[in-house]
Amino acid sequence: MPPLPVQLSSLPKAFINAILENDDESSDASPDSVRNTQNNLLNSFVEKEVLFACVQRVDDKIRSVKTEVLKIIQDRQDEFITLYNKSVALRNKIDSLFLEVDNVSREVNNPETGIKPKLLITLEKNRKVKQETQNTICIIETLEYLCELQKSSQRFKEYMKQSRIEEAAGIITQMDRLLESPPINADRKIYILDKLKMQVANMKESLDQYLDDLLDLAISFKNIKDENNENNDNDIIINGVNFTILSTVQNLDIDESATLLTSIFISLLEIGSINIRLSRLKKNLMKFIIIPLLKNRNSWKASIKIVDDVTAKLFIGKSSDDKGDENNNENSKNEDFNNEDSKNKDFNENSKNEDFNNEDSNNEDSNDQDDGVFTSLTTVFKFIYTFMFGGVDQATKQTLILPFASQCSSIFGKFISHDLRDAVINEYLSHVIPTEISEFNQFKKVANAVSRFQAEMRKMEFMRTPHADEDEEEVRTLGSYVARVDVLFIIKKRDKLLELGRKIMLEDNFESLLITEEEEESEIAIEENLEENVNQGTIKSEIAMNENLEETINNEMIKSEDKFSIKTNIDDNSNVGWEVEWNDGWDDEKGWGDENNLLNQNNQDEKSNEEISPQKLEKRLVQYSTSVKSKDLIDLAINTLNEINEIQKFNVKSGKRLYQTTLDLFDLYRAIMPVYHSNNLTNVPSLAMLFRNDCIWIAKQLLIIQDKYSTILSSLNDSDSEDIDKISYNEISDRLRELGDEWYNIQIDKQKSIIKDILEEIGGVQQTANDERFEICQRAMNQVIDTINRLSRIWKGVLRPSEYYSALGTLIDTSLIIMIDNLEDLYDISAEESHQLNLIYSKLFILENLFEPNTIGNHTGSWKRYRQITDILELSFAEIMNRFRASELDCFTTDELEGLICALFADTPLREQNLQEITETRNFF
Amino acid sequence: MEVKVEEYHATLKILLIGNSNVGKSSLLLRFTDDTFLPQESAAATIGVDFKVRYIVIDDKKYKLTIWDTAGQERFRALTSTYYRGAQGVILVYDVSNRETFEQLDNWFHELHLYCTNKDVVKMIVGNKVDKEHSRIISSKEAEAYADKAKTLFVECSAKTRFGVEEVFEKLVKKILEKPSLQKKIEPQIQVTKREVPTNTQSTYCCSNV
Repeated sequence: MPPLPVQLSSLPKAFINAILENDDESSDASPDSVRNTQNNLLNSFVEKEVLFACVQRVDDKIRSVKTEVLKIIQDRQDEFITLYNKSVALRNKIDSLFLEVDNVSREVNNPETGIKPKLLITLEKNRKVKQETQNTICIIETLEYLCELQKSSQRFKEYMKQSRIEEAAGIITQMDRLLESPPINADRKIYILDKLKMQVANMKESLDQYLDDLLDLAISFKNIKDENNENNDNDIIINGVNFTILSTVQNLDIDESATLLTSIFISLLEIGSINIRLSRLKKNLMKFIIIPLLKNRNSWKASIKIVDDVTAKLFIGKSSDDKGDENNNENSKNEDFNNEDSKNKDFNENSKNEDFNNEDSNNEDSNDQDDGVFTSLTTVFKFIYTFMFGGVDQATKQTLILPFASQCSSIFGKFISHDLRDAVINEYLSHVIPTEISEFNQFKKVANAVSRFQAEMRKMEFMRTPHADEDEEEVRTLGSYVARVDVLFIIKKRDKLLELGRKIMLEDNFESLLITEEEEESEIAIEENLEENVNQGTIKSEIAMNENLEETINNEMIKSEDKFSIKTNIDDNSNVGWEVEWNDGWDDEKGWGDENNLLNQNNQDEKSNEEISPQKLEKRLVQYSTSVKSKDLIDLAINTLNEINEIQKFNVKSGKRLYQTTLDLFDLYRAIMPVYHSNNLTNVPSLAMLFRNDCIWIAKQLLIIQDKYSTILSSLNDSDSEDIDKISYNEISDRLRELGDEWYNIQIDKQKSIIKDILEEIGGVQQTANDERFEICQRAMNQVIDTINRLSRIWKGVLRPSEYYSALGTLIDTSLIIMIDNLEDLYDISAEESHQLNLIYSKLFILENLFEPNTIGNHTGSWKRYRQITDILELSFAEIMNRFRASELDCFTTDELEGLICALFADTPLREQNLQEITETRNFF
Repeated sequence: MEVKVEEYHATLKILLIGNSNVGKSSLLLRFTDDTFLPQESAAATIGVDFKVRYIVIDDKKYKLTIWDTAGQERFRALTSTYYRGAQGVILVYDVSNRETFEQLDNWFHELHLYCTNKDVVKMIVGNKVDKEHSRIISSKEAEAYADKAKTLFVECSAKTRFGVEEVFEKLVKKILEKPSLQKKIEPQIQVTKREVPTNTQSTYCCSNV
C-alpha cells in the first residue's frame, strides 16, 4: 500500500478506510506492510480529536456489525432447532429399521427354518420340469414327423402296388424334403436320419428299377440281320435297325394296367434319375441308330411308322417298306409319318404348337433336299421328341411343342449333342469337305441341310439357341463346323499336299530328268577361270533358265496340264540307259550336245514365235539332271498356287494358309530328304549330285514361281494379317541352295577322302625299285584312276559341264598334290627308282582325257607341276637345267627344285654348280 | 528283357557283285530270309545292302555278313570301301543273259583292283537256272570260264531255291581252307535278344529301310 497522504481534513476517513481496506485486502497484503502503515499513522503527527473521531467511528462500525450478526442468529435459530429435532427423530427410526432388518435376515438365513434353501430347491425342480416338458414336446414332434414319413412310406408302397409311379415319385421327393429339415436335435438325429435316408434310398432304387424295367419294355432297338448270313456268326450283315417306342407300357405284375411313357420320364425327372437313363439311351441311340445311319449314309434312310395307338417304330435301313415290319399286325394302323398326306395335314394354328412335318415347305431351295443324312437324322430326333418325350397331339398324331417334351429333349440334347456332333463330323462331314474349289457349290447343299437340321433341333430343344452375346461361330456346333469350310478345305488341302509331297520324297525313285538351259556368261567365265570355285558358277547362273521356265509356267496355266517346264526324258534316260551307256548323250566333239536336239519341246514351241536376240543365240546350251522328285514337287506347288487364285475369291486368309502350305512342303523336303535318304546321299555319288541339283533347281523354280504369281502373292500380302508372315519364297529358296551346296561339298569331301585313303595306304613312294612296292603303288594309282573315271561316268550327265569339270579337277588335284608331296619327301632316288617312279606317276596322265584337249590345267591347279615333276624323274641334269633356264620350272619353289635335284643326282661339282645357278637366278629375279 | 549269349566261331565277309538284274539281291534274300520277290516287285539296289546269316560248317557256327552291291553303276557306292576285308566274293551272272556273263571280265578286273588279299575266295554263280528254256550260257561254258579264272562255280535259282545253300556252303568251306584267311578268324561272342531268330538276322547299310 502506498503511504497515506497526511492531511488534516481527510486523516480520520483515510485511517478508517485504510484499516477497513486492510481488513478487506488482508488476504493479499502482507502483515509487514499493514504494520508499517499503522506505524506510520501512529508515528505521524495527528490531532487527538481526529483520533477520537476515528475510534468513534470504528466503534460504531463494530456495533453495527454486531447488531447485524445477532439479527442473523436470531432469524435462523428456529429453523436450526427444527432441523435438529428432525434429525434426531430420523436417527432413531434408522436405528429401529436396522434392528428389524437384522432380525429378518437372521430368520431367512436360518438353515432349518429359513426360506432361502426352500426357494433354491423349488427353482431346481422347476427347471427340471421345464426340460422334461421340452423333451416331451420334441418327442411328440419327432413321432409326428416319423409318423408322416411312415405314412409317406405306406403311401409309396400303395402307389407302387397300383403303379401310380408319378405319385410314388412325388412321395420320394416329399420324403427327401422332410428329411432335409428334421425336427430332431442334432445329437440324436444322425442315427434316425441315416436309417430314414437309407429307407428313402431303397424306395428310390426300387422305383428306379421299376421305371427302368418299364423303360426297357417301352424302348427297344433291334438289328435286322441278313437272313442269308444268319448261320455265319462271324460275318453278320446288318440290313437295318428297328427302334420301337411304346407310348404306354403294360405294368409289371399288374394286369390290365398300363403306364404312360411320359409318366416314366416325369417320374425319372422327379426322382433325379433321368440323367442316367437318358445317358444310357444316348449310348444306345448312338450305337444302334446314329452311327449305323452315318456309316451307311448312302443307302440307309430313316422312316417312322405308327403301328397302332401305342406302338411307333423308327426304321433305319435300305428300305422302309419291307424291313422292320415283322412285328406288325396287318390290321394295325400303318401310317407313314413322313408321307405327303401327313405332311399336309392341317394343324391348329391357334395353338402354340408347330407342325414339324411341314419342315420341307420352309426350304428355300428344293434342290437342297437331296442330303439324306440330315433328313434321316431329323426324322430320328423327331421320332424321339414325338413318341418318347410325348410331344405329340394324340388326336392328329402331329408333333407338338410341349413343355415337358421340350424339357426332356433339352436334357437329352445336352447328353447327345457332343457325341452327335463328333459322329456326324467324323463319319460324314469330314468326308464331304471339298477337296477342290469346284466342290464348294455342292457343299452348299450340305451346309443348308446342316442349317435346317439345327433349326429343327432347336425347335425341339435338343439344341439350345445361342445367347445374344454368344457368337455362333464360337459354339461347338455342326453349323460352326460347316461355317469354317474354307479353313477345313485348306487344312484338307494342306494335309493332302503334304502327304503327296511326303510320298514323293520317301520314294526310292531316283529316275532323272534331263534339263537343258542356256549357259550363263558367268558360267562360261567359270570355265575359263582356272581357279574358280564351282559354287560361284552355280549361284550366279540363274536368269536364262528362269526365262524358259516362265514360259512353261504360262503353258501350265493355260493348258492346265500336268506338265511343267522341263522335258521329261525318263524313257530316254532310264536306269538301263544310265548303266549301260553313259556316253550316249555325250559328244566331246560337239561339246555339250546338239543345240537343236537338246532344246526342250516347250521351249522350242515358244521360241519359234519369239525374236531371239543375237546375244541369246551366242549362248551355249548346257544340260544337267534332276530327279523326278523335284519336278513332281514343283508341279504340286504350282497346282496349289493356281488353286490359291481360285480360293482368294472366297477367303483371302485361306489363300494365305494354302500358300503357307507350299512353304511347308519345301521345309518338309529340306527336313526329310537329308535324313531319310542320308545313306544314299552320303554313299552314292550320283544321287548326292542329283540331290544337289534338285535343291538348286527347286530354289530357282520357286523364285520363278514367285515372279510369275506376283499378282496373286502381292494381293495376299496386301491383306494385312498379323498371324501369317508376308509371302515370299526368297528365304526357302536360299535355304534350298544352301542345302544343295552343303551336300555337294559333303560329296566332294567324301571322294577326296577316298582318294587320300587310297594314296596314303601305300605309305609313300620310297623303294619302288622293289617289285612288291612298285606293284602296290601301281595298284593305288590304278584305283585312283578307276575311282575318278567312275565318278566321271556317273557325274557327266548329272552335273553342269562347268561343275563337272570343276569337281573332277578338284579330285584330281587332290591326288596330284599327295603324289607330289610323296615325291618331294624322298631324299635319295636311285636311277632305277627314278624310272619306276616315272612309270607310276605317268599313270595319272590318262586322266587328261576326261577333259577337253589342253583344258585340264584350267581345272586342276597342280597339273603343270605334276607333269614337270614326272618328267624330271627321267630327264638328264642338262635337260632339267635347260627347262629351268627356259622358265618351265617356275611352278616349283627354289627349295623344292633343289630338293629334287639333290634326291636325283649324286653330290658332284656339277650338281653344286647347278644348284648355285638355280639359287642365284631365283635370287636375282 | 531276357538275353542269351550266342557264340560263333568267326565272322566272314562275303561280297555279291555282278551286273544289274542278275539276281544278287534275290540270291541274298533267298539265303537269309528264304523269300523271293518277283522281278516286277524288286527295286534296284541303291548303294549297298547288307544281311547276316549264321551257318554251321563242321559243327562250328560262322556268322556270314553278306554285302549286296548295286549292279547299276549310277547307284553304286564307294567301291574301295566294300571290297576291304572281304574273304569271299561271289560274281553273279544271269544264265539267260550273255552280256552279264561277258561282263564278268570287268567285274574280275574291279575285284583284282580293289581286293588287296590275293587269297580271297572267288566264286562264279550262274543264277536263274529256273529259266532253262531261255538259257544262253551253258554250264559247260561257264565251268570252263571258271576253271580258267581258277574260281569256284555253282549254278542256282533264287526263285526255286535250287543251289542257293550250296553257293554259300561251298564258298565258306573254301574260305576255311585258306590259311591266310584263317588268320583273321577268331572266336567271338555276340549278345543278342532272345526274340531274334538264331538263323537269320537282317541289317541294312547304305540302303533304304
